[in-house]
Amino acid sequence: MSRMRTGWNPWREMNRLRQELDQLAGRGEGWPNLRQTTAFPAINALESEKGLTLTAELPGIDASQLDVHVDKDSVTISGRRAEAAEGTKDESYVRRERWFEPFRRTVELPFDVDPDKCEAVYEKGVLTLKLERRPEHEPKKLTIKAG
Amino acid sequence: MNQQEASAGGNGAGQRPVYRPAVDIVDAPNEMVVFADVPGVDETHLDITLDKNVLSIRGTVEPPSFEGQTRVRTEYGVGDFERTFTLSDDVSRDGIEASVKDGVLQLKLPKTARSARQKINVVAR
Repeated sequence: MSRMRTGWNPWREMNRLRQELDQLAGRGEGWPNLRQTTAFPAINALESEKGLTLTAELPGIDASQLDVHVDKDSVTISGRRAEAAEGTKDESYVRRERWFEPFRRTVELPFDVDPDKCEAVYEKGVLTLKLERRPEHEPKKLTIKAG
Repeated sequence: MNQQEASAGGNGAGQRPVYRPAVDIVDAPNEMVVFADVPGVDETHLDITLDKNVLSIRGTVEPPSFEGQTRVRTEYGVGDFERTFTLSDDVSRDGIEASVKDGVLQLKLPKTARSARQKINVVAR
């Protein structure tokens, strides 16, 4: 029995529909498979042969208030940000939309990384983590012998 | 807590999505202070315009390069930020100051001498 390879695919249809809806809402262009989450911070991940790059938008945080813990197969990001307004009695908020809750999030990694070779950069309010694969977990290209 | 809310309009300039940044507005004795979360934006990529009583902020974000990489998780989109505010006459049109640090825009809107210590309106749209 062979699996059908062509024809109608309901999952692909649904994906396409969602992308169209995202585009109508003005988001997700160039960002296929945007998966919104309530977990904070939201994380994007890029994988390469060398490893994984994670990014998170965390504006206005003092680097000393940001903690990144790398395990061999998970990363935990935690921290808090200080409110800029001194909160004296002469000042009052007219509008408050920004978040100030302490946060903590752990994400599982798709492969083991070397915690000694990781790099964290916080720039323009964006945290970027570069994680290197453990050598034994580098994908290997197999040579196929002709039979 | 996320900034995934996309603003209406503002897509004319390019293909990138445009987000509406979360803002706080503080009423201090001599000025109004606006804080906006604009991760990825620095001073050189910020446009602030004042047209009559409408103050607009727009920050552009360099999209990341995906060369040689595969996106394995995408929980937020990267795009520009745009938002407008309506100022009342009690905000002085001169002396508006803007600064950006760690992806947070701070706008200082001095009150006119007359309105200092009075409550004035800055309406975020």
